[in-house]
Amino acid sequence: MPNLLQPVLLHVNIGGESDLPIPAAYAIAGACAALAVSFMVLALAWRTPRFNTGPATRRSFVDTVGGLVDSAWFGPLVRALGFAFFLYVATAAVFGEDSLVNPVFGVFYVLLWVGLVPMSLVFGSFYKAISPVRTINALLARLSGSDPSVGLRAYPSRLGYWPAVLGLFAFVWMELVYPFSTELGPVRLWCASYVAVMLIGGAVWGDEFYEHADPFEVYSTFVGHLSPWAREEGRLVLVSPLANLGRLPVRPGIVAVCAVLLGSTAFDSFKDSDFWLSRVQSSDLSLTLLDLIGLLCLILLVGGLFTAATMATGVHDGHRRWALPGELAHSLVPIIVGYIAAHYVNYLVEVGQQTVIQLSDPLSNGSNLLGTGNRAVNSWLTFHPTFLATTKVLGVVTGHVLAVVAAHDTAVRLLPKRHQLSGQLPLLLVMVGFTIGGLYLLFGA
Amino acid sequence: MDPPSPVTDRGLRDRRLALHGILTELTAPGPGRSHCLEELHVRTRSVLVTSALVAVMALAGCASQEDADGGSTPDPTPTGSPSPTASDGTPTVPTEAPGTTVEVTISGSDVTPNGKTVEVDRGEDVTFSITSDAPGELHFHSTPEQEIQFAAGTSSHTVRFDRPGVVEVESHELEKVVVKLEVS
Repeated sequence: MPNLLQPVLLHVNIGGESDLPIPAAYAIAGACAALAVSFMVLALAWRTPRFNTGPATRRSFVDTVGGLVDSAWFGPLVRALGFAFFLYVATAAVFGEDSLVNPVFGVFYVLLWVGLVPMSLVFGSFYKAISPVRTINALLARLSGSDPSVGLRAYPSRLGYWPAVLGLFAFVWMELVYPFSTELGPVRLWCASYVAVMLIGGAVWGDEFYEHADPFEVYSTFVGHLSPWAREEGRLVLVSPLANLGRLPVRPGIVAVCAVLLGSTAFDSFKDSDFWLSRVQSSDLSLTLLDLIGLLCLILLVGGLFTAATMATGVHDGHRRWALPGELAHSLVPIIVGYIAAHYVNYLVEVGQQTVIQLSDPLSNGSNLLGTGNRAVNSWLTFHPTFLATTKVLGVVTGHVLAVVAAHDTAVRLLPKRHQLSGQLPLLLVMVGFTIGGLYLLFGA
Repeated sequence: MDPPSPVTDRGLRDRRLALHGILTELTAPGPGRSHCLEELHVRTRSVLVTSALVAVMALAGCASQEDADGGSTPDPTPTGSPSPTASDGTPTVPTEAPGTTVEVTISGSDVTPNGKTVEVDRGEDVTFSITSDAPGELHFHSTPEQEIQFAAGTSSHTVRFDRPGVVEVESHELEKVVVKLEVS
């Protein structure tokens, strides 16, 4: 039996074996499709922006849904369910066993981190609705008789999303670099620190802090802007996901958020490659240090390439070139979502099921509290690698298509007429580079 | 005072063009060239490139049809070859079992192979022929997890995997990934 007090697992792999690499033919076909689509967008280039050119049309069924979502009981009910789940998992974290049977690991690394993406794609700003830290902040404010949305001072807009960038980096460092990531103590400490920082921030700056600084909420908001749900003048409306992308609030640090998300997913693939393993294992430097350097380098590479590509163009008089990367950053979101879907879909389906089974026994004492304890994991995806490979490539290519279209629409809005086509070429090349790089990593670098 | 118009003030515009990106200079309209003509060139080029890429895609898809059906990557050479019959060997020669054989050598904190990928089939017998200077354990990150405990010297152990995927084989003492078994 493995000694649980020692780091037995080098890599966080609470799901057993990893996915098979995609076949070469699929990778090549995917890369060609991405290239073809990119040039097709240039060929069909429309000259006036197509998205967000007027108010969204409202239909009666959206008003019905909006009425439901904004009713007095719906929001609090969803928030209460989210908080109840948080308390349940916190009990497992505090009183449960330090073994991989404890559902905390599955909830933290799979249901929360990966599950956030499909939930936000379907429901919009999902994490904001269930956020346990917002709930605690609201409860504390209610107890002290103050308004939770108002803090001691206003959130400095110059900070933007940067605190969330730090939070996201702390998570991916924990997941990918830290050697004791599957031990209960460190996970508990991470979550406790997260709650503490969020509560202090909420007290000082009010609810606005969570919009800018809560890593999970910022992640969920970014992905939620690929959903069809948006708010106009406080009312729920249905918009095209591409139009919704353009509505993502541009704040300092927006490029860094995208760089951390994309770079970390790329590193997750890269660190299992033959190339990295053989280099790292034959070096005298510590594995942790080398993994940290690798993670940082990939994040900086992604951020640096994107920033340089968006700035290599002519601009209007009076338009600051340095504003371009931030204004175009929303077009990276589909690439991020496509690549995360490709990389984690089987992981979410299988380990997610395993976690739901484990959740019935939070204290690892043989109980079956939720009734799921006797189920078996359905591994259909694992036994159909061709279907899985096709899904992965489709995910990456679809993300690329949406990204290129969104980037073009924004370029047409921002750039002077003379540079509308030529100014986009560097960004197009970098996006193609990201997609081909992603496919190559899926192929098994 | 009116700000200088970019269209008429050629000196100012030329200076600005020199400062802007490389690509901007390449497509800047020169004397006599119109903006519409430049766009037509870019569009025509885009259509030609698109057609070329579609052709390459079709070729890639047709040419490697066997790869797509098999669902496997280019084959890295496995360290042993499958043999249908077990040979009756002398004590100094390790018996060849049917299936793939992977030879592992551990000396001090070095291990060979060092994170290589080996392709195996589902249900196939995978024999690990381990030569080590110290006793240890090999952990297999499969579902369910498997383990080999070996003594110092040369020994042979067989494992089998029923689920497709990439199984990492790790030396417990060295904390290094020895091989990655691609089970398909």
